[in-house]
Amino acid sequence: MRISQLLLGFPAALILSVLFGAYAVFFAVGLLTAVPNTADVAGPVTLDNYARFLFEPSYLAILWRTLWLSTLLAVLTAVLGYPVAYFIARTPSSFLRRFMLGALVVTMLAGSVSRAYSWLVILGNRGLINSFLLWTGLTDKTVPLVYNELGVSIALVHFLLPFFVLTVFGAIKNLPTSLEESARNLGAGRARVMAKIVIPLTFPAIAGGLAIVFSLAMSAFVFPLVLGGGRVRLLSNFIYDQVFVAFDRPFAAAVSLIFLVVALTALMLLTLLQNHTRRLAAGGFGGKGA
Amino acid sequence: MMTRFLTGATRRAVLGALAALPLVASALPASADTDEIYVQIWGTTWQSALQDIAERFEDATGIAVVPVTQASSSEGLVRLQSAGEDPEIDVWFTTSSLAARATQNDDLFLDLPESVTELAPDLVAGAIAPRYAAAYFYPMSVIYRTDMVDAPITTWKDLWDARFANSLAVPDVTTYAGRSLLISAIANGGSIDDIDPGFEGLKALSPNVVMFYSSDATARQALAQGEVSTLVATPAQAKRMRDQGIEVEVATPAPTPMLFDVMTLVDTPRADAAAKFIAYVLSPESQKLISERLNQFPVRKDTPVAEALQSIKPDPENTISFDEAKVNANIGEWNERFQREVAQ
Repeated sequence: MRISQLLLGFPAALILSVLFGAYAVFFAVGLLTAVPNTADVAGPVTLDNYARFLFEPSYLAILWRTLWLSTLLAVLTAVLGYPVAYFIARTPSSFLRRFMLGALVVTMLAGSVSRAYSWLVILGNRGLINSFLLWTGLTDKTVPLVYNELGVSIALVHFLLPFFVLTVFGAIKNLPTSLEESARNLGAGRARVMAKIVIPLTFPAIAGGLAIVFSLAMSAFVFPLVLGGGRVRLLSNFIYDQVFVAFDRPFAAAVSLIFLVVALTALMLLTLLQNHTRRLAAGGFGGKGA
Repeated sequence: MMTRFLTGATRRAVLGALAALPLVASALPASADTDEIYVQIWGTTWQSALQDIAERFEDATGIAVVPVTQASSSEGLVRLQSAGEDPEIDVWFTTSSLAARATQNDDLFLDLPESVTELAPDLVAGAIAPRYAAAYFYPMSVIYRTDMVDAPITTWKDLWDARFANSLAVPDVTTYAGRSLLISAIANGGSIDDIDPGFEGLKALSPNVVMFYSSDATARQALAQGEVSTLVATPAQAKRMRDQGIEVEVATPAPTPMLFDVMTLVDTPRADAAAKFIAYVLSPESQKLISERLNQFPVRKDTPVAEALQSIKPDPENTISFDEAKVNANIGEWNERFQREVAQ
């Protein structure tokens, strides 16, 4: 029994050791130094790369900007995605549900690069939106929707939305409709039912969805690169520049590890929030039932 | 227990995987097979001209050339370094700027053999270095749509004109080895040793810039869609635009920075065959093909420049080149300053 358990655990242990091994290499390389005017790295072992990032305000500004934008986009995705998930879960038409879920899955499976270029066509000065605005006379000159943070944000929300909706959809679907009906029968309006029953009971799923979209937004690379016009630089783009422009792999490795720690801390906070709300939801519901 | 663990479908899957190993192995580069060499190159450069040259080379020597595409030469270098002691690339195409930095690695690169270096008298100045040979060269140019720009562009300072408000695509500092910054420095009274006017110039240019690009494809798309009217790029981009049916003009204002794309010889067991390929790319027929198909200038002095390039051939007195060692020493810092002061 013990040997079979060990055998079964071996593949998982192997995969995890490879994953963590990669970060161990990152940590080790981050302790070295780039050799000037070459693409090589060498000793001695030092923490200078970590200090260089953590004590340079312009570098920290990129980290804060990435954190801020990721948080903003995660919340925006949740605000937009929750009603969509609710509609899909509660629509009486199974055809409509399957159609919308299919559309979300197809959107999710489409590659980032093709989507980024599609958004260039839609958001550009001669794109669909600006052409429509000019045609209707709502504006007499083009609105800059791309090659800036707005364009990157629009494309990222589009990218993140399916992940959030598909995460939350299941929780809403599993919530008995009788709960909402009972509340309505007792005189609660739609908004109150949503605020007091549906959202609190599905909050663990909302927190889970937020965690997923936040981590995806934090690591965004292609959308800022293609749609940012060189003016939107998130931490992934910064790390890329250190590897491929400055050829400073030790510094890139150090920044990557700092990035990982910050992202994990944020995700741990979200997990704590998720567990807390789950306990609250279970306790509150049980109390009322009793 | 083990027998039970490896039964049925699992055992068949394991046996199938083991049986497939020879097939997988045969698809990987053979370590000392000189019937074929591996060339790491940009996809569009390969498709436009080098594929044809490689086929002719195979007909002439029996050595097949297998392309390994790279999105950028920086990415190519990182891939080469990651391979460690067994690089599976024999010839690496890169920019002269990056080659100057990368070829200092004695473990990865070889000196060019005499069969290549003896061609130096036939080539333009600067085309051969101990560890790289230029395949072609090109001037930094201005490409503009004739349906969107009324008056011709003749000087770099034209780009600062208010008539170009919100209509330029300019390479960022990482692209074309900081040439946009160096052009800005020279156009505003500075130099590679006095770079501050370059940053001031780019800041002043910023209202005219729609995008600081890092990808030629993205910049071409912006020009094709009419997002920008004018592109600071190489003449090869103009050919690709014309191939799409978009009317563009090319200007090569003075001083004209010249750049080389070069071939380096990687230290592999197939180095002899790889050196033959490098020499073949420098042959008159290959150089003619590069000029006509790729719209880049041939490095051989005796090769005629393609018809499409005749009108934009810069006057040698107006060309300028930069100390690549200085560029390499500063490019990381320039990029960070550019991001802080200009792009954001």
